[in-house]
Amino acid sequence: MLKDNLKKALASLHLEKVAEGDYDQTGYHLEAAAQPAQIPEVAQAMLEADCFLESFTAVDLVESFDLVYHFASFDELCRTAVHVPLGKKKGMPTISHIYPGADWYEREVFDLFGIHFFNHPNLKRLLLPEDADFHPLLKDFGASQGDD
Amino acid sequence: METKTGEPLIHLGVLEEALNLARANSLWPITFGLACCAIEMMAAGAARFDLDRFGAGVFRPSPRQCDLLIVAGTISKKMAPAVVRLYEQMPAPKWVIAMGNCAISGGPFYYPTQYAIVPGADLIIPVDVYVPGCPPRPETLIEGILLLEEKITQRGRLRKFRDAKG
Amino acid sequence: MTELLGLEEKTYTLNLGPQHPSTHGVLRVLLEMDGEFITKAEPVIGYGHRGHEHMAENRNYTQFLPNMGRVDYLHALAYNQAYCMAVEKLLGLTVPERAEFIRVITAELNRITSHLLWFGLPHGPGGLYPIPLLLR
Repeated sequence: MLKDNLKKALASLHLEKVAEGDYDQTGYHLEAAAQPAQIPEVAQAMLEADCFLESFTAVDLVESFDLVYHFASFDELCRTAVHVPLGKKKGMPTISHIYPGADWYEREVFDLFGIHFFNHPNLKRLLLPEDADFHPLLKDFGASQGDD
Repeated sequence: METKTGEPLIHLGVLEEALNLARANSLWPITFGLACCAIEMMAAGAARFDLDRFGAGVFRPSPRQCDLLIVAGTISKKMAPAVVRLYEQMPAPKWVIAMGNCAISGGPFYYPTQYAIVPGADLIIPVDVYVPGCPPRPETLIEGILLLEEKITQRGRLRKFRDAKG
Repeated sequence: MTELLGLEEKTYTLNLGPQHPSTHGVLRVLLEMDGEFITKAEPVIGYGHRGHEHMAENRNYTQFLPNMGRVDYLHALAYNQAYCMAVEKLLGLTVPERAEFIRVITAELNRITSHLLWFGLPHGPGGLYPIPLLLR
């Protein structure tokens, strides 16, 4: 079973937390938390277990960031969510040498949040014009107007 | 005949009325769909709501061969220089239709801290006819083109229908 | 000597710009061409970025629903359905069976129109032009 293989593989990496998720409630089967420096090893373990990177985004909690990686598999229904807490003004190692699809995901996170990725081959802005000087999804950018 | 590009160099007198009639009845739009309104523009050019019966069904890909720019969709700040460049590449006389709420005033995407769009096409290019809707039905776009024909020829095309309703 | 003069250069860069009949919507591709063969293609996106995620930061669930119909305007009801299902899962709601049947019907109809447009676009201008007529 893929879930058990993944649990074994992740447990050997000494991550902070590896737990099962409730698929009906949350949509993922496995949840893990990792430190930024461990992410390349986690990605390598996922690649060896035949998982692909489904999505990658970040959340701006006011004091820090929380990066969320989703890995899934074509052969068996098993989605893994990996959370990475990251301080403000810190950078992350890139996983684009393991998953080439993460190249544009990391460019998007850099564009919208300002998080730098070390050793990224082409860290330019993706969505906003090249000469923009702001990162829109940060909480102190200014929220959109609501119901008034 | 007045366009936003200014007075023509040569006035041809009475012949201009015939020329205006010819220009209005064969407007050549450019294939310029930016977002959702592009689908309604394509539907207006397709079989059921035929634009070709008004002469405006020949969508040319190159701006050098067109005289009508239908701005269909949201103009993002990254795209705005391209829109201006396309408008400048079109030869005069040329007209612009702002189709859909996004091209008129930013539409559902306009709010005070919006960072990504230009709220309205008339901030960057001069617009002749505004066609509201999100997205406007193909019949609405056809009415916009008929209004433009009225503006070009100064003759009523829709007037007899409006007067009949009283 | 020819290298110094740059005469050995074989490729040129062509900009398939944001407005082009075969790039429906706006997609810009920087092509390095060797004659008529493409050796490298680099897409440049962002011309359609409207900031849906930023808008969602200060909206209710009901207020954000129209945005989901504009994200993919060809398959709009399916995106609306996905958003509604996610909200229902968060709130713990169940919908009546009739609603689920209606959702299946609308999702399939949208899928048909989306695929018809896909089929019509590369063949349209200069190709099988009548195919987009199937849209309506």
